[in-house]
Amino acid sequence: MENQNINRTRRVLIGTVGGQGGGVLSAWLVRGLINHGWDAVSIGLLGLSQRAGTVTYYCEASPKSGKRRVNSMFAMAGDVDLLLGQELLELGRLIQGGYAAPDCVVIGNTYRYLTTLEKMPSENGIFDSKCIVDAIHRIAPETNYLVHAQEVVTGNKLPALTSNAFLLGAAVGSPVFGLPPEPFLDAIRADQVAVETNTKAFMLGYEMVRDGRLARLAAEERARLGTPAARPEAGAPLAFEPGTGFKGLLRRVADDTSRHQALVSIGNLLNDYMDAAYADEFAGKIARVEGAAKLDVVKGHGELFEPLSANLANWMDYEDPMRVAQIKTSPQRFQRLAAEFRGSKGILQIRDYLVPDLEQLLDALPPGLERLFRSPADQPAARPDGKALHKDAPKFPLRLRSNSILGYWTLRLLAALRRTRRSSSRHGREERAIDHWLEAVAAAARQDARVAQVLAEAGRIVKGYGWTRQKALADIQAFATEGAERLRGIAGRGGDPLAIGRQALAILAGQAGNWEQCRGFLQAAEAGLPGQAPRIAEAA
Amino acid sequence: MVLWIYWQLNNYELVNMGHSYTDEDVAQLRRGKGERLYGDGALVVLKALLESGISYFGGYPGSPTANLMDAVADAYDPLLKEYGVYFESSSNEMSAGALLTTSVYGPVRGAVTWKVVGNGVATDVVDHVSQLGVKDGAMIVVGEDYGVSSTTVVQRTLAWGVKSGILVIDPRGDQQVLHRMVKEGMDLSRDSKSVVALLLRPQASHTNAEITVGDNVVPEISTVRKVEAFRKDPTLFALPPFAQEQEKDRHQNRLPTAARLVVERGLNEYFGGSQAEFGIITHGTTFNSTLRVLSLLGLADEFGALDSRLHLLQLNVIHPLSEAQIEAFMAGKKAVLIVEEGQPDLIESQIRALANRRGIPCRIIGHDVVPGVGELVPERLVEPLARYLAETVGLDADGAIGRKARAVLDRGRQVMDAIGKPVPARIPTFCTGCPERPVFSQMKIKDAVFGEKDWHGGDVGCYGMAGFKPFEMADSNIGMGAGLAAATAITALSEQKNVSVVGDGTLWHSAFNTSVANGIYNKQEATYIVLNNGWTAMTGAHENPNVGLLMTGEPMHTEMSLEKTFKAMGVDHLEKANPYDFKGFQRKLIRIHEDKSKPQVRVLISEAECQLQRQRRIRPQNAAALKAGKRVAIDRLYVDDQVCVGDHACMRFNGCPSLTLKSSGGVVKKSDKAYIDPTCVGCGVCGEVSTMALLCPSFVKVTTVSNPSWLEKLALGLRRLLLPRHVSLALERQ
Repeated sequence: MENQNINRTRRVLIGTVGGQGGGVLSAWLVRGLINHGWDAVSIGLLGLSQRAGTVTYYCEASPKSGKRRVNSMFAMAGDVDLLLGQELLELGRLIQGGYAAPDCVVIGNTYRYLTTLEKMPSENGIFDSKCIVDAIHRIAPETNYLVHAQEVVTGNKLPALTSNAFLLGAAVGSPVFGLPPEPFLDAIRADQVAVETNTKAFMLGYEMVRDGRLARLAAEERARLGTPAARPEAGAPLAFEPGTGFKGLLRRVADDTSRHQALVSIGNLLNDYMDAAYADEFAGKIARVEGAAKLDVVKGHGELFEPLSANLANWMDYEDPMRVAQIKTSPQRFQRLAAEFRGSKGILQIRDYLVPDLEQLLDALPPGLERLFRSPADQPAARPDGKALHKDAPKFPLRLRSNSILGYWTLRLLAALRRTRRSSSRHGREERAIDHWLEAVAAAARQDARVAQVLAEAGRIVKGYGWTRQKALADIQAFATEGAERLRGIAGRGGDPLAIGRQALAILAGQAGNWEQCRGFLQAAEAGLPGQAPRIAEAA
Repeated sequence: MVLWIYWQLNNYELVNMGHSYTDEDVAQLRRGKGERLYGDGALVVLKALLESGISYFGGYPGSPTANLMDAVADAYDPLLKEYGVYFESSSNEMSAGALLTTSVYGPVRGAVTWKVVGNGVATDVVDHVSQLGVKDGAMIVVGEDYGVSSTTVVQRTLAWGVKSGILVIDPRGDQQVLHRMVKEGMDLSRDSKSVVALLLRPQASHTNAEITVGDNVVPEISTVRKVEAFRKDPTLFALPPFAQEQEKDRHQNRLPTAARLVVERGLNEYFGGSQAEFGIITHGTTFNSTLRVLSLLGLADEFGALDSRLHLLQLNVIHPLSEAQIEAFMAGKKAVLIVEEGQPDLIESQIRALANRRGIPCRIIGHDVVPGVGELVPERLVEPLARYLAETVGLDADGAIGRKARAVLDRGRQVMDAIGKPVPARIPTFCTGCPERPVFSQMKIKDAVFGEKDWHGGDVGCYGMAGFKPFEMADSNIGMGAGLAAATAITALSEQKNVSVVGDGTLWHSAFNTSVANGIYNKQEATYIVLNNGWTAMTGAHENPNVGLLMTGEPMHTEMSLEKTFKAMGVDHLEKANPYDFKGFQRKLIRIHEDKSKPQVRVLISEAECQLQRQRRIRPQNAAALKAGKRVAIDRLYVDDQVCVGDHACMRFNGCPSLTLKSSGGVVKKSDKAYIDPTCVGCGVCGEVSTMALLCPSFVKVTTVSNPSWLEKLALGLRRLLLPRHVSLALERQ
């Protein structure tokens, strides 16, 4: 790949995130090149650099020739020899700028620093790393080196912060430059910041790119990104003695490892949440859907089992104050906390931000008692937007020290109250809402399996606390009635209710309270089909 | 309490922390003739200014020349002070422009700097200086940013220069040329008695390169070698009866002199064959882009050697143009391509007018082929240049140039489409722990959860980022200091309440006058939230009157109090609140917001130091205390991932870089969970947001106490007795 003209200008583009040390990386590169007797310049396009925005550095360098080079002040499409990505999305952005020359080298970090836009949606906001890595593999099949630099350096007992020096080492050792390391080590030394570890990391990158280890590691990394993330929960053994209902369910999937494992996880969760009988209740609900839909959901070949069982279990495991208290006092919680703070010395004092409110207190009462305190207009179901109550409603924000003596035992007591959950007004409401959803799935299954599939998948939008959950509940209520009817109409007119339904669901799943946008999408889909749309009553 | 205050006083000391330049960087500014200097554009400009013998420097920091203010401030104590260079961090661009008046009344030279929008702020004053003319060099280093890589509106300094008689230097992208142009510009200013604007684009300002320098010139008149007095001259007055004489002198004498000297001193450069029949005219960095493209098309090398069939004139000075030079360039040429960036295209218009006036038979091609709007990055020039070369110059008989052009563009397009879908934008956001985030989180919660749709006039500063996701809480962003003023009629014409925001830096820049005085006098009904973080932070932490320090690190010896100023101006209802304490902040905000006693501007000062500066201050303090065995408590937030349901509602009210996501690892609860990484500084906003917006009970504040007090040790002992081992043991680490 190496260009024959060793005196040609090398053009390098470095993609970074503001505040992540990209400036130091580009400065080391230029200083090192000048130390080596080259003519080198770098241009930083800083933007609002210290504020986690995109920051790009462009560098031009060539061996000294006695003549002064005319630099381009901008990187140009198809003209850059080395693309260096300190973060994968930023490398992707450089790729999308079209800068990569036909024989370019791409060195990058697969580490992801998520953007605000990726973090905001409830689901599927994170850009697929595999897309970027595969594209780079197509652009520079023989000369791409994408590895998780932080993991590589920490794996070599170096601090994660030395990943920049590691990437620089790889760049200097790569075919673009192929220069000796000393001038660059001098540049690092001149900075007087973590010299020992940074020079080691530089040499690690330098040697790994030259002896082929980096290319092998990059191939492994690419394969790793192609496999779904491990779910540690999967594979755990059954942790309780199941009742007959759940046992029957397990027996039916005995020969299907993945479904069996999923059910074991669900059983463990529900048993931990309440008791073994609750897992039987789960089995009962599945059985009722099967009966109403005249369908074998559990062993059937369709895709219904996975979303229906997971979403049902998730819904049944709704987070009420007792559940929160239970989790917050569990031994595993303290283990996780300790692991996260294993680097710090001293004693840990923890303060939980909790906001008990009247709503939660009333929720915990039996329905009869609750009605005494709450007028019908105040029923959560009567205000689906979740707005009316909470601005002025009594609430008692507190910072509970859950590892203090008082704090811990208060939470334990609250957790113990989960035995009374079945008689609470909230539980009754959740049960009714669950049944309504399951009935909608079963009813749809009798007519069109595709609509049933979408409705089962819709169960995933039910999550959250307080008003976010109220909005989500209103959303699914509307989707399971009006949405289902619109999807059936779409199917009747030759549309694909599965594809359209999933797109509609993606809108709903982006943020609780999106039903209006979702309905708008469905209406637009209807408008795009031939024939007359049936009249459909609007939900709430 | 008294003890606590005492402790605070003892621990809060003002430290001059320097800006961006190391002692080694600054030491290079002493180098002499033939020696080398390595640094960014600001260092290059400053070195050239020192070689020009400046007596004063001032300015208002703003990208892309904020680094020039840094460089001067960082070099002040070791160098400029010794030379006797007067330095001020001006209140705004108008004050900075006024500093140039020094050169009107005395034989001294000096420079000021600001970003391109500052031209408008300074216009009144600079127009006066320009009309009067200067005795020695007076230079404005303008952060030209036509590509909008910072917070600015799209504009060119050229139009201002043309209408105000200011010389405009637009150097090509080469730091050695930049160095020369600063010095030549100063001499040109002296010899034509005109103000010079030197355009420093972001690319040049942020280029790191090595140059050869000259000797510094210590100014003859300076703070260490003062003159007895500045001589009075009644004719140096920009009003009648002198005004018309000054205007005549400027246009009949000074500007023509400048145009002549530009040619005589070879400030504009020629490349390629002087006998060529086809020409190209470039300016500033369009030269670099043009050369890069010509090199790819095979008509130039990388060192500026151009095919002899082409002749290129690079205008490093774009105002005034020398008609003689342009005419001579066009003489004998069949066609000339003008590569001018942006609008108004005064270079092209002037050349066309000249050709027309003088009947020059040379075809002129400009914005009919070259894109007329937007930054001229190289790939936008590939097609226009290839077309010019093929269709007009006739160099592409074998189609080679066309093929090369297509190859370049095709490769670009092919690579661009490789990923298949656009990667998301990385919107800049408030730093981790920023004291401005909590104010906008509260605004967003009130808007999205409680439905309070107030009008939020924004202003210019970090808080302009409130206009971006996840907040979208800056309903206008309309020029520095004018945010509240922009909302007077909007409030008067609607039922909506006005809650506008300003920062302390912007208040001192202009908002006190433009917005506050205007609002108070006109009985504006508004809540004005002042984000007092003690720094002009947007530009990378610059001192302002609130800091108590000058940019040089010297103490102010007086207090400029926001509170006293507001009160003296007539603000009757003023409160101060800590933005990290949502409950207290809301209590005061509601009191102010709902005060219906009379139409008035009510002020809430949100007081908390810029977190970047705070961390720079307290991290070394903590490290020292830890070393000395003293008690140190460090906060960090944590998310209980089993309590988090993964609906990401918190992200939509927060946007903190340290609040991110991680895979849940669950089978049933698959959503990615919120995760707070170790860069968290423990400001607590995550927890406050969750509390105020009633989101979830997932957030936890974890305080790591090193060298605990005896009381804490006692409590620990009790916990060991009364809590299960898994609780007490997990949380002690030595």
